Amino acid sequence: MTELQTLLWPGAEFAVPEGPVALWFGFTLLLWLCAGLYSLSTINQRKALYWSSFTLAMAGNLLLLLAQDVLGFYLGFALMSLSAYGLVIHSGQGAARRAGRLYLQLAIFGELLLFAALLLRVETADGALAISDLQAAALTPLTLSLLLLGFGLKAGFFPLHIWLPQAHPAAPAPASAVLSGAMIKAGLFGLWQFIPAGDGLLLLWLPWLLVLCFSSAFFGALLALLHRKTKVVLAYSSVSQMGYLLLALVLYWTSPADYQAQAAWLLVWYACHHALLKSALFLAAGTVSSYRLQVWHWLALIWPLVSLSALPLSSGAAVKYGLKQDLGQSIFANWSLLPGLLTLGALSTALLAWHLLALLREQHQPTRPKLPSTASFSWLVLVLASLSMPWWLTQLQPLWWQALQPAAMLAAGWPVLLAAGLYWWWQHRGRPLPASWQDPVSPALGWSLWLKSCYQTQSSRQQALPLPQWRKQERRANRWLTQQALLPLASSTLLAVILLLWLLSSVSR
Amino acid sequence: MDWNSWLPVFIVLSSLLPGLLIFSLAEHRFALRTTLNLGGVVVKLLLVAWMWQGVKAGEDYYFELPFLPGGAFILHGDALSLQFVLLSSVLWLVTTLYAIGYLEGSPLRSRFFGYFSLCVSATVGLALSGNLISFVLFYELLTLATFPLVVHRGTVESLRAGRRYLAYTISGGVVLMLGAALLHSLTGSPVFMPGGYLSPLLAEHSGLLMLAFVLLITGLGVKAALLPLHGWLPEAMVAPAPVSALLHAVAVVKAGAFGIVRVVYDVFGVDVMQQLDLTWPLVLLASATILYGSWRALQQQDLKRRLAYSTVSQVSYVTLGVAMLGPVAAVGGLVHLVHQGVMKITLFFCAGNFAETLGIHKIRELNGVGRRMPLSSIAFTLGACGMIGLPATAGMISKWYLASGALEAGYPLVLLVLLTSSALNAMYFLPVIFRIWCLPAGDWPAPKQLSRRFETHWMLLLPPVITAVLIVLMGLLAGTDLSPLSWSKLIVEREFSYD
Repeated sequence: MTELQTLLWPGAEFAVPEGPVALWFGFTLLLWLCAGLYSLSTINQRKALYWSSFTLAMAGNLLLLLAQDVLGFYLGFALMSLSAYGLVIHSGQGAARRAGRLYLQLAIFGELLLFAALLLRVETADGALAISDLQAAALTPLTLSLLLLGFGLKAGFFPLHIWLPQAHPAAPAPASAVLSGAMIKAGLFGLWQFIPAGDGLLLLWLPWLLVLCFSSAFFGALLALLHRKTKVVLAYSSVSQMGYLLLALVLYWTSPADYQAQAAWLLVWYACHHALLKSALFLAAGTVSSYRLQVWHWLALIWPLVSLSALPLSSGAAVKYGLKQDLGQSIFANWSLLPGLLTLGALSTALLAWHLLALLREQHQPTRPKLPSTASFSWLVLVLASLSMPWWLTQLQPLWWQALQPAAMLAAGWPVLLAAGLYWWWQHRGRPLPASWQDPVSPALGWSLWLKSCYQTQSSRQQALPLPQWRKQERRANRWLTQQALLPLASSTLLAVILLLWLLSSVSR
Repeated sequence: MDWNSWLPVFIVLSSLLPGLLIFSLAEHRFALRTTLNLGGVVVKLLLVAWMWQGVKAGEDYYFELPFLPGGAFILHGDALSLQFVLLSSVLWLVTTLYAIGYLEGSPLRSRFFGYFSLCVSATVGLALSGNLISFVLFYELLTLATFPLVVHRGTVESLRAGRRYLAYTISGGVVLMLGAALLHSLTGSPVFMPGGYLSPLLAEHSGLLMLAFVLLITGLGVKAALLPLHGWLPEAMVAPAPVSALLHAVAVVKAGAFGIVRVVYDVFGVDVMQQLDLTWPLVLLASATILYGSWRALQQQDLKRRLAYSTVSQVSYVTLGVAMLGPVAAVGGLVHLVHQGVMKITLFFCAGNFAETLGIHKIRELNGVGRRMPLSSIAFTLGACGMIGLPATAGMISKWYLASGALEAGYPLVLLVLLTSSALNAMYFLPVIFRIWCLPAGDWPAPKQLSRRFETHWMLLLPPVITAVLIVLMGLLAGTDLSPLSWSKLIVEREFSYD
């Protein structure tokens, strides 16, 4: 292993992950395997494109989790980001291509920002290429914003989420499952690994990061309610959940030293919890839109929703409880606004879950073909993994038990019931939304099209970046040199000789 | 006889002699010509490999003939020259293969391959030149040897391009000569040495030194396609594909860039450059060229023209890396000398394959080529990814070293230039890749079946495949002793440890 590492790029270093990272690696791998299994029987067109993108993106995703050096991480990250483009445009339809364009433009942009960020970090660490060495180097405003932008564009929290609600619905269901379950988590993983906890500048920026967390959480949940396509709703739900994950990360950064390990574990538990349930939900949404569901499928569909709403007994209840506990331990313990915001967030998430359930029921048609058994199996594995998370993850059990105390159960339960009432009232008694509010079109698509018109020209006559004078200048220079080449040639040679003679004479004198 | 001192001469002769013999061959002597060509390549590669291990072990290869008062004709194999010699010999091998396949059945092949070998001899000679006078000699020879290749097709267009090429390069050559003569009159032309040989003159002749620097850089800038002097390069892409490939990747533009490296490190030297305050103008010029070339490439509709403007931009990475005068930036520039060569030659090979097999010249005709010509398309994709500087390719390594070198040398804005250029590269390469892979097959102008088993003639297919594999290997295995990165580090170690 070490011999191989000296042959690779400078600083290359890999390690078998340990501790929280091992769990992160584990759920990522599980997600890719299940999505792959689901794809085996459900992807029937353009298989070469699909599978090459799928395997490359998977390789990138796993590589970035194993890499211990900056360049290796960057390699994995870029490989994952860029290969996922093939998954987004897989269907080849107009919507997918538009979404893919936006995705790729932002991915490249994020790549460049990340490159600059990593480079500057390495520079501050005096050229050290190991990720662990970067922890000691202090952040500057520039590097911190570059890191937040570069990774944030992948992680997809508000306002960097714009590609997410476009790309997720465009991709095939298993691809959306890994996009939302594994790949956007990689952005968060990057933030976690590359931003040193307790950095002075970071602490200064924390209030703004908190604003980012909660605006992402509420914005995602509320926008989801305006949409009627299940996968768009799921994508917005991811935006909202990334807000909570970012919160978990912020709490990790600010937690006291003796509590930091626990906070790191909570971050990974939350990521794992969300990854499992969101990928199961994406598979569910994909199944509902083209296959018939059997009775047990409905159970497999409802459980992730239960977990999403953080009802007792679910992993969601445990991690939400843990989040509140973290909050109590952190420097924000005295901010009385935050628990209230979390409860409000739970209410909006529950609303989203009910909305999603209603949409899925509405879309289901019993006349469609049966879901192939391998696909059923992989879906079931994800749901079971999510269901049994407190059992195979023994460290999570204390939190799970604590979430079963009556007070905690009450606190988790009433927002869901209230949301059910509210949702029912909105659907049956409330006024319908104005038509212009429903399924709003993202302005990002327009920006992406404008950007495209800048670099892709239709014909030689039609130039979006008109700079004809440059061409003219080049031509003029060429003509001048060619037609009157003799003149400059002769004169410069003459000059050369004269100069030479003058110099020789002056030197000899 | 001392074999070590004759080795550089043999390396030059190994392509010169076959070239001269080929001129005398009749047109139909295909087998003999090919044997001579490939034989020359193999002999050269063996000799270069021998020299490589020698230089690595600290051996000195020095050949001297009396030539001018104060300046002998010197061939000297040091680490820097070997970087360029290795690049030219390896790429000569693949280009020869490609050219044999490309020109099969076309007229005037003896003339073509004769000049082709001459051109490589001139390049290698230029790389091995031990002082400024010998360098200028080979530099002019290179101009003369490439002109017949540019006009090889004999069409009105190519003749016009050839005239332009000649006008630019001869003028450039004269200016270079002027600069060299100026320096020669001051100190003679001693052998290139790390740290330069001009520091004794600094106090007395700083104005003249500055003038000489401007003259030298202007002369070299013509071939290196620095900003106002780049006009010949996009025109010269009318030449046959192997010629464009060699011109863009190795012979001509690289001769200019290599010359700049020599002048900066081994004639003037880092200290003199800093004291004369010559660094930032060169950095500025290189940055401007990088952005301008990328910008113009974006506007081209013709594939080869787009690649040509991309060359304008990418070659200046080398100049940029060298001009910043820091060791890390120097590694970036030197390694890009090789990386850019391999990546660009791949792209030109592929463009040639598309043109030969399907008659494609315009970018909009490339729709769906990926299905029809998968290997060439993969090679093209890898080359383009390398140009953008995506990870796992050679381009990423150059970009990383250039950018960290820029920070180290105190030019943070260069980072912005590099990022902008990468973004522009992505803007003009990714739509091409999208057309190749993601659009349904279009109406190709002139599809031909050149091979029963492969997508095109195997001699056209093998070279881009080899170079594409090299792109990935140079990116992934950058830490090995054989990689250009390690060699560049060795060069920098030797160039920067002269005190």
